[in-house]
Amino acid sequence: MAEIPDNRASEQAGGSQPPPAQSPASKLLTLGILIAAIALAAVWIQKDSTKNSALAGEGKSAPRVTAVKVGDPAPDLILKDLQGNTVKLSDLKGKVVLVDFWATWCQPCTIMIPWFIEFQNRYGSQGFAVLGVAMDDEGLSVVKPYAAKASMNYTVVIGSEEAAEAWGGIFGLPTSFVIDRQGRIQAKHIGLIDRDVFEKDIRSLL
Amino acid sequence: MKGRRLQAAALVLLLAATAWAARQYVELTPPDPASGRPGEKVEVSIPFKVLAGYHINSNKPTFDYMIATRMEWVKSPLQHLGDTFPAAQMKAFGFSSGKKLAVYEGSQILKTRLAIPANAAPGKLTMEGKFRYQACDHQACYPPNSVDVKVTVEVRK
Repeated sequence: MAEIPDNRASEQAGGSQPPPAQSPASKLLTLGILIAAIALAAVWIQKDSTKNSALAGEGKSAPRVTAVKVGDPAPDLILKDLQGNTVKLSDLKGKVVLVDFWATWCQPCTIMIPWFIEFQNRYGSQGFAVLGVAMDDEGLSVVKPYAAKASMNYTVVIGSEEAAEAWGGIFGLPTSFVIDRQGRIQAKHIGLIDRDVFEKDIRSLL
Repeated sequence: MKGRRLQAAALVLLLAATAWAARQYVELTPPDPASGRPGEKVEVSIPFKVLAGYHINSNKPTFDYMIATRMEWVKSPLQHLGDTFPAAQMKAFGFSSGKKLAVYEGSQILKTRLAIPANAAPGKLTMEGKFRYQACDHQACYPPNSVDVKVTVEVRK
């Protein structure tokens, strides 16, 4: 198994320290961020509103994005699985859930799928579930055969722009969230990370 | 404290703005116009640059599930004869388990071949298209995206 040393985009639940008073440099930074945000928003609005999606791709109408963070209640997902049944994330409350936004064209995603199959096998009986949210534009036609070929033993649903939007916009794939039994996000990982990180997340919540 | 809250709010606003914006991982330099007479064939070089730290799949990716880089041209008076993509770079990444993948990184040149219609009048003819790609870095992959391309051919007498 490849070791992934750089866990650049993971957030986990933990304590915080009181912030120091804001320095002039910090005020400048705030101003800079504000200006950058406004400029970006203005450029986007003027440029091409049809090229954007919550998956930050193209060909979709613009969503409204509210960032979700560790500690927040997990937004609900109401999506169709590969058999056409409606799946609600909120129905899994009481379980530890790993929500994985992925796509069939995403190679880092495909590395993690066997791990999730193993986790589902190992911890499923202890109240754990994986929910894969496939973000392929082609939807069922590509995801269903892929899931069969990969022997995915957990629930896979067909994602949507609205789903990605509800989760704060999905900037890259894979993006994974670990949710506790109370339905709160306890970890967020963007990109391929070490398998052991996921397993520790899961075990700590079971 | 108030300042820190304002900074956090500004950061959220920035993130929201960037979440809406289609991120580009490829920069395309407008190609120099080609020129030729009616009935002649011309070749146009289209330079593109993959941003540092990212790669895009080549036009013939290593695995069939990967999204290939390709050109999508809009019909034009110019006859499109074909595209020649640069040779792929074979590179291994953190997620490829040592397997080398056919990708493009850095500055590259795509060439497209066109035929000027035999009955074309002197002046400018253009053809527009989209350079379609899908980018990754060493850990994550990003949604398919495209960059607009416009080639111009000066038709001489």
